[in-house]
Amino acid sequence: MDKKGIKTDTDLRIGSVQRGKKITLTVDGKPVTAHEGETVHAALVASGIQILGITRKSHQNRGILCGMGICYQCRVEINGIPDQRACMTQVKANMDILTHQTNSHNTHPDMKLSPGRQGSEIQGEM
Amino acid sequence: MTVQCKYHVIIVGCGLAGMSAADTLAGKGLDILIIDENVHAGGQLIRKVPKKVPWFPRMEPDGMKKKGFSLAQRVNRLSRETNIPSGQGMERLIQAQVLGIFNENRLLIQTSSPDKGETMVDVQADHLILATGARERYLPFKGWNLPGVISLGAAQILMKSHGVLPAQETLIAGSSPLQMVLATELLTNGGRVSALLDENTLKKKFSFLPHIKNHWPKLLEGGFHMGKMALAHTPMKQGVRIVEACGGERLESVIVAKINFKGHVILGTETTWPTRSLAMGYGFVPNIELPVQAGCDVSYDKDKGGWVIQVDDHLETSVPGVYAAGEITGIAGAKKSHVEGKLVALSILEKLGKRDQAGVTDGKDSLQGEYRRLIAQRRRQMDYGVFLNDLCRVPSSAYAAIPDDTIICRCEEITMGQIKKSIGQGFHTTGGLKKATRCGMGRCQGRICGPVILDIITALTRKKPENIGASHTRAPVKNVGVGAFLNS
Repeated sequence: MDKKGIKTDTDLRIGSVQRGKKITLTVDGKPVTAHEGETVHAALVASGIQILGITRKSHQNRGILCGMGICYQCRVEINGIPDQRACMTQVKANMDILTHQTNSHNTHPDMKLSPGRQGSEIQGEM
Repeated sequence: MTVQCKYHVIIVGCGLAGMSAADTLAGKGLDILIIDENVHAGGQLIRKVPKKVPWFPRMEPDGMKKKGFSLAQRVNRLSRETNIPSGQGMERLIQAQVLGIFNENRLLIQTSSPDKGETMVDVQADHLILATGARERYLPFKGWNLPGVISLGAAQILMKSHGVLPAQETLIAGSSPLQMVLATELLTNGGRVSALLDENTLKKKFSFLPHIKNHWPKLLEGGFHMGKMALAHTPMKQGVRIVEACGGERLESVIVAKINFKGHVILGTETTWPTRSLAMGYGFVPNIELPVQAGCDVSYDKDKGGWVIQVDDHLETSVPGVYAAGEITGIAGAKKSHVEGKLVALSILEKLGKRDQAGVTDGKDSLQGEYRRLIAQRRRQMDYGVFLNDLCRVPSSAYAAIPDDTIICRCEEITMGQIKKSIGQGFHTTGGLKKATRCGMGRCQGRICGPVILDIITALTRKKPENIGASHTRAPVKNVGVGAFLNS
């Protein structure tokens, strides 16, 4: 991924900042370190995760846009509940976060669409 | 639902306007509720800085941030932080969203309590202050939906609230003065700025000088930022626009081109900047959704940043008992919000017959004097707003020239081509286009694409925005889970 001499985004936390207690989250099954007082988004960015979701119709990757709870582009699944805004949710110890949730109603265990319909209504909708 | 508790005053939004209103109203024996979506008081400007103060002076000649931080501290001290309102004293409801405002100033609020989870509360106010602030404005380009393309504000929030850099190296673009602020913040915090790519030409910037000669603190601040960037050898390009953001899984590079005096891209001037992080912004849009839902009249004024809430000199809206303060009455920056917060609080104190407690010592004359002083200050800041909105404004031709395959509505994935086609079929209002294409029907409820679509319709039909109309908003004005209804 890193062509043209771009450095990898590791260690994005600014050194001079006083932080809350260190905690551990699980993101897509892997442990990620965060600090109390951070939002889920900040913790994800600090660990190099930019891709938060996949769009419903054309299955494109999406990341955050506004950072202040308006655009809803940063929705992730937290502790089994889909569509939580990463930018407005504070981290808590042992949070289980899933990025890449596709269609919200497809991912929720109680509301599965029939397989035939998933992503197939894209073209005909206009 | 029945009204759970009543307040003398409810303030929606705890930014500069909301805080300065709360501060002025505090200690007068009133029951006050301040509602905000965030955990911390301060809004978008005053974000907690858990940081050791650097040795160099704060680059802020007008001192608004300093004032703001002490205001936030005062509001924190004076109010009680809560998740469930009780109706007593001054309370600050955190991480809550107002879903709608109904008859007799009844508010339906979504909140979350530690034991119940998401739930609803129904509260009522004698006087309601709406200080919902502003958000950023965008100029869509091909690939603006790639992960790694963020707003200027998002990059600032990451640093200011969380001490996290958006990336090791960030490219900054757009037309907003926030670009410079962000560049300085990145450099100060050990980040790198690949370049600052400004839509505005130096000529355009200088042509504004006569208009803001009375706002020297802002000019000085701009000078500070430029100096900081020059010292860091940050490339600064003027009069350029993003043509495309490229990348597969995520952003990898950005193609920019020069623009001519008419605002058209000059072919053959394209250059490519490799980057994994692009922060961009094109000015500000008032968050008028909640006041519109409440029934407040709006008016269009390009000098105020678009559709704004109409208010009288006492900042009362067309709905009796509902007041508006801050950016929603016109984009003009922190100082205007601060002044309006005070002004709206004085109006309410006068209505409540607490004139003698308004903090102005003797009687009616001096209160009127204070009013006049604040109104004059407000007008002065409005002048600055004219400059600010002019500076950020992207020419109409830029919206007309968006390529057909560019996504406009990010939630519903509606492209410029689809929108153009529907405009061609006669859908010339944001409401009509929404029905024709679904743009603005997604999660953000048109907050991101709405202003863009208004500009696109204006550019393609040559209609005036005031004739196109503001979009309608209905309750709930924000996304709410069914669980919240079930829990209440």
